[in-house]
Amino acid sequence: MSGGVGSRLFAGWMEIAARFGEVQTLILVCLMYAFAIGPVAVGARLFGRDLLGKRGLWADSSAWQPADTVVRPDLERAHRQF
Amino acid sequence: MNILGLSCFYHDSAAALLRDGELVAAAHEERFTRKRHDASIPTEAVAYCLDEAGLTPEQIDHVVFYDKPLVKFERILLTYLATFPRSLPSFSKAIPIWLKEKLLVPKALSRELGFESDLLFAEHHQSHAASAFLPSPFEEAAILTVDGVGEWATATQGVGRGNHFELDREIRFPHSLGLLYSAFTYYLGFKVNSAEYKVMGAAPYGEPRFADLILEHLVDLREDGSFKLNMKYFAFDYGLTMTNKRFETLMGQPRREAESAMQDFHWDVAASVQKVTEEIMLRIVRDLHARTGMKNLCMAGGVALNCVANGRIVREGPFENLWVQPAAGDAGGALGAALFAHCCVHGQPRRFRMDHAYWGPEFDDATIRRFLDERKAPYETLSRDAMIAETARLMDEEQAVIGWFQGRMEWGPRSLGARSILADARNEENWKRVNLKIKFRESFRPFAPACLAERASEWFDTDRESPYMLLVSQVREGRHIPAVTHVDGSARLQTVTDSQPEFCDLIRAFETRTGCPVVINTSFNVRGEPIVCTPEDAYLCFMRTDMDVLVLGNQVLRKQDQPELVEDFDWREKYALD
Repeated sequence: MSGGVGSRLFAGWMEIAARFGEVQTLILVCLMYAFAIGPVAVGARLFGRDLLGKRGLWADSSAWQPADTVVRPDLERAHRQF
Repeated sequence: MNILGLSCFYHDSAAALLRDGELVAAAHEERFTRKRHDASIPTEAVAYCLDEAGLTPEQIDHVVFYDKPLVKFERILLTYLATFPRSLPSFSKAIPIWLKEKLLVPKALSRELGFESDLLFAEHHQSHAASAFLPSPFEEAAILTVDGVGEWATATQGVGRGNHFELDREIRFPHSLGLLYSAFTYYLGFKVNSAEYKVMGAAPYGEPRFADLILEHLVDLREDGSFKLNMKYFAFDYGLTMTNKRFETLMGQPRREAESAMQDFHWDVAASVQKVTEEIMLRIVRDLHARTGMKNLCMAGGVALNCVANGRIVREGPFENLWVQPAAGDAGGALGAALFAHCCVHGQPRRFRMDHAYWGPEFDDATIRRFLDERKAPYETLSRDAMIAETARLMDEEQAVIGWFQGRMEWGPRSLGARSILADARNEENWKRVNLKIKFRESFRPFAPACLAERASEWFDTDRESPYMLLVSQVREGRHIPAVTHVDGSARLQTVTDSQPEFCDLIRAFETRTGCPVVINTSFNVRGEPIVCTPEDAYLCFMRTDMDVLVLGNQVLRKQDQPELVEDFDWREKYALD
């Protein structure tokens, strides 16, 4: 009986803690967005950087770009996550 | 050398295992977990691959992941920088997942798989390109990959020769043909990364009256097939939706509510985006042919599953031959990554030619009978020939709809005669019956015909094989197969050879009885459910629907003989609609 009550209390506490964790994560992520992403984004905009290449094409140009691949992939490069 | 390729985290996770360059096993995780488009680390698919190969984890030389996580993360961060401050909702959803799992791929893989191996990474479009060229029948070929987005690339071109290929050009995010198609999928009320094929199926009902509007306002298309999207109309770079209000204003109507009735407007929008997609693909392949001079073309990436566009490339494009990876979407990246490591990184010769798509689990008759006996499900075991003759008779004389379960499960999104629902294609009623009472899906969606390869050119306007249901052809005039003929007279053809011998012999037997070498072949599932994998999945699907007969190996089960299926939940709520 007491074990059942105890486990229900524990489950309830875990649910509250999970919600609390979600709110905490949201606050941290919003702060990261405002103070890490924000200033860089504003700076990039002030300097006119087109980070995603959104600007249109010139009349005679193509949207194909040279691909960033190597002719002979090697094991060292394949080990990298970048 | 044993190489395990993996794709996961986005959609359609999968595993593929190579032994000395030969494919041993490949499967989608969704088939085991029963969650459609499951994106989780493919633990069950990996377990199956190891079991099929008789290997222990220690015997794996490399695990190869199908993209480069840090390059993808760079793209995501730059996208948030470029779209600040509108991207906050997307950022707050995506970043915790990235920090917890996607940035820690080695750790996440070893935790979930329960073993560590030498981990390699291939670029996303390298994986697609490898899956397209390396298992193809060509010694040299032009390569085209087109999808939503990988790291930065959304489309790449190149050339493959021998055991090597080079991708020399790409189009970069956010300019993406796959995302353009997905944006319209979203606008038409369908699920993104899942229901794009419904837009393709809806297109023949409409007129492409918005195609010029799309090309004038949304897509800046060039003669070489390259293009830029006008991002003022899209929200996928910053938001949680694909399109924005400006898009709706341009098109003239708000986004269609999911499950609401399709109006003429919606058919026309579907027809328009399909026409634009075909135009872009045709321009790309013409330019690619002019640049490379190759006579063969290999394709992969989600857009390569657009079989209507593929059909036009075959008919109107300059390439003599086309080969499309049957798992052209992200799942196929698992195979591509493994092949890339074997051939390109280790420089080993190409040893594997993919000439069929049956790389999943199979269950012998003894296992099937054990399951049926435990279930107390009445069945009849026949000889192989008698099973085939009886199934053909049931489809013809009784117009039965058959659940067909034979051999190894298919690799890729299509049912190709191993896990299929079959019916008589001559009976128009079967279209409605299978759609509404068995698959529980939209009535407009067409069914695919499976036709004996040697008869295909007599029944369809085609001069080549289409074993993976990736080419659309016109049904020849005078051939009456209304259950598989779309409103525009087209059909998503599968040509059948003896690579699935029971299926091939069944169609032969059906032709002997009826003179018709064509049957309806649709995936063995209901709407929202992954294709069945095990005898149990097949039995449950059979019992929950109006299917008449289930054929499991040589065991034949009739619906009227079965005890009532008692379940303490509504299975319709188990599968989210797509």
